[in-house]
Amino acid sequence: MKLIYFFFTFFLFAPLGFATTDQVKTIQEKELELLNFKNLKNELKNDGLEFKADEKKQVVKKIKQLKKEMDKDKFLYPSSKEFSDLLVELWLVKNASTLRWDIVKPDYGIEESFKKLLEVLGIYEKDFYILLHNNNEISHFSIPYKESAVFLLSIPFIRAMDLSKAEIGILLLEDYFRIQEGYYFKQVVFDSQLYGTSFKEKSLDLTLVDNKLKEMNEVIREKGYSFQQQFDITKKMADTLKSDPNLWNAYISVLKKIDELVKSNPMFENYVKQYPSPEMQLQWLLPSKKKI
Amino acid sequence: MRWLPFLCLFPVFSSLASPKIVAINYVIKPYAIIHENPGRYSTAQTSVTCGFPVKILADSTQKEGLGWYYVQAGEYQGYIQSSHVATNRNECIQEKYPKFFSSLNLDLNELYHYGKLFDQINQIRPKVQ
Repeated sequence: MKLIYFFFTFFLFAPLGFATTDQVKTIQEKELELLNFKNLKNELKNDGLEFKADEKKQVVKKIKQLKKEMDKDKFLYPSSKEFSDLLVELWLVKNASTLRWDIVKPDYGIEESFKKLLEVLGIYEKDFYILLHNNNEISHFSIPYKESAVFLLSIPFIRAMDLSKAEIGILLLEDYFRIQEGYYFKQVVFDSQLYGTSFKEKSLDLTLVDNKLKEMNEVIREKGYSFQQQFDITKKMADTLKSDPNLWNAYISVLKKIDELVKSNPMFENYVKQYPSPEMQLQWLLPSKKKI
Repeated sequence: MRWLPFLCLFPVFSSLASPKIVAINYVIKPYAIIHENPGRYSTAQTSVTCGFPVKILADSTQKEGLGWYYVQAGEYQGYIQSSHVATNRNECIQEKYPKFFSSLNLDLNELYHYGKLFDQINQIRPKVQ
């Protein structure tokens, strides 16, 4: 009886059972659907994860680009201004043994005196650098440096003439006017196309440094200034100092002392080649004696 | 219990042994020298490069007026010109153009003179009176 009941119920509900398996998805099918990529894509779209992934891709792209630029920046040549300042430092460092600027020097009080002179003349808010050295080859010279100037001043030179602080200040002022007139940059020209560019994937051109150091050496040690440049500077000095008798007298006095020195001391005979000439400068400044 | 008073005194002794750090400054010159004494001709202890952090020590207040700081740079303690350091870290040429600067191949002697140069150069700034 039980067997009959079983068969009856089986045949009665079997079609229904098959129909449900066709329409209702099994757990395995559902799991498979979840793993289905198309379905996953739809899920991601709905969650906004795809948009976030795109955003992340953009960020990574930007970082990569910045990194590339930063890497490129590491290979930059300095700009012409920075290059010029760096060369001044390098030239002084490389010529330390010949200039002997690292010797023990007495405090001459030049800095304070020159500072006061500049303040009197209305030259303010600029840094000036003074380096005393123990070489008689470069008696005095100014090089443009950091929007201002570095003044090289020879101790043997100022000692040989026993220059006063005021006279030294005048000498430095004359050098500063030479910087203002741009004489240095007319001789040492920083016009290379390489300044400020990158040398990544190219070879670094160090001749740029070596050649400029050589040029600097020539200008500072040998070439000096022309007669015309000296004339213009002397006139500028006269215009600036004439109103102050003390400064004017100091200028005349220093020129006379230099004139005497170069004529009497062979150690400074090169001076006239660099700064032609103290004698002419005096003639340009002092009124000519008329013969009656 | 017997050690307790000594333990209490330990911070006092330790503060006496090492000077107090007043501030941290950074070297602003391409190279700078740490001297044994506050003088430009004093023996050099070490050379520090631009951007190097130096600890300004309490004793500096005595020498500050004279333009020197008593500092600790790495393991060295010595004096540095106050104009060679600043509270803010400036951009250094070595960091701005690292490949170019390193290719200059400055030897030890030149690096030492580089630091010494800024000791020897006298800087003035005329001001409006």
